[in-house]
Amino acid sequence: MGKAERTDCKHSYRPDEWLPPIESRSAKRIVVTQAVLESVRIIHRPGTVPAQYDVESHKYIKRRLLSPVDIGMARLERAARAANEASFFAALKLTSWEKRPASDFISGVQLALQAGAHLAARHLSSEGARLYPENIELQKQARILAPARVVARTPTTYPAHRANRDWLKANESEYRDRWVALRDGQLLGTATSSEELLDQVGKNKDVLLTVV
Amino acid sequence: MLLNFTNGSPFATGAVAYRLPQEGSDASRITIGLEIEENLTEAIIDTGAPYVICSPDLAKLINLDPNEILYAKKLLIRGVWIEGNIYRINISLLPDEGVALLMEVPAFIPSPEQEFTEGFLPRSFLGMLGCLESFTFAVDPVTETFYFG
Repeated sequence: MGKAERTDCKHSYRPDEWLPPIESRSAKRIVVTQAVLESVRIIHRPGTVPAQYDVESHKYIKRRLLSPVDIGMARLERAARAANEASFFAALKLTSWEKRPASDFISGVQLALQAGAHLAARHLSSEGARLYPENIELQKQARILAPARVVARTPTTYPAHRANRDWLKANESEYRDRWVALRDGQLLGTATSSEELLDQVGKNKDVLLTVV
Repeated sequence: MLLNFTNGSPFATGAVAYRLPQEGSDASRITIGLEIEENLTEAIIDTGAPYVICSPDLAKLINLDPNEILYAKKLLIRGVWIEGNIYRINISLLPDEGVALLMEVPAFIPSPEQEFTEGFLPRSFLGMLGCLESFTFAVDPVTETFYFG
């Protein structure tokens, strides 16, 4: 087996001393060792790619390291693929967003949504939109993910609303799991599905369509 | 009667009675009537959810600008990954007493091409992030009233 160099990480290997060719060792041990090394690379060296074995020289070509900037995005991608919100936040804290291009902010928002980190998505879109006011996609992201905005307050009550609700409470046991159409507390139709109910009563702004 | 702070300023400017479905997947969930994109419907108050989440049935009724779509993504809802898009939509909280709120909110709209089991997600959700977080709200279980404002 190739020699390992101890570092502060318990999983490491010296890149200059490679495993011998496969034909001179037990295939099983080689496969296991390579699997261990691959797991090491994924866990401890994010942003790297596997070393390539050169048959002619019987050596592994040194692995290529990504830049620190790319490592940050690689961590975010990994958390997003795992749909792990906690990991995403941890990776986000380790990632510097200064001097990043607009494309990184756009990607970051997409990754945040994929990871389920919705608050992070909003913050990234907002920051990206602030830094790049001319970028249409970032402005759109920020606009859609922004907090709710109260458009109007109208001093109007809806007595029909209460009538519908009172009907639902009074008739829940009889119509449970059925779709009903109500207007001003009056039953207009009932069906087993919303499509069937729509066919009966049509679409109308004043009609409540709901399942009991 | 609406809710006020001790100094008299309003805490909630609207109040609506809610219902609690007695059985089914939405049993004991606070359910209020409202308008979503001018469709009269019901929605569940869910502080654990993000955005407004439209039910698949409601998603088929509302017409949205395809240019205002934000990402096709998946949300895990009740153990099921649902594909959909995030849009900016209008909702109106309709009060029994007080002032109605018309708001513009981010909403997750399930893609209509998906098929769901019968009775899956029959109602929409009003989630915390992007919706409930933007106004004061309170619940009185004694009178089954949801206050907002």
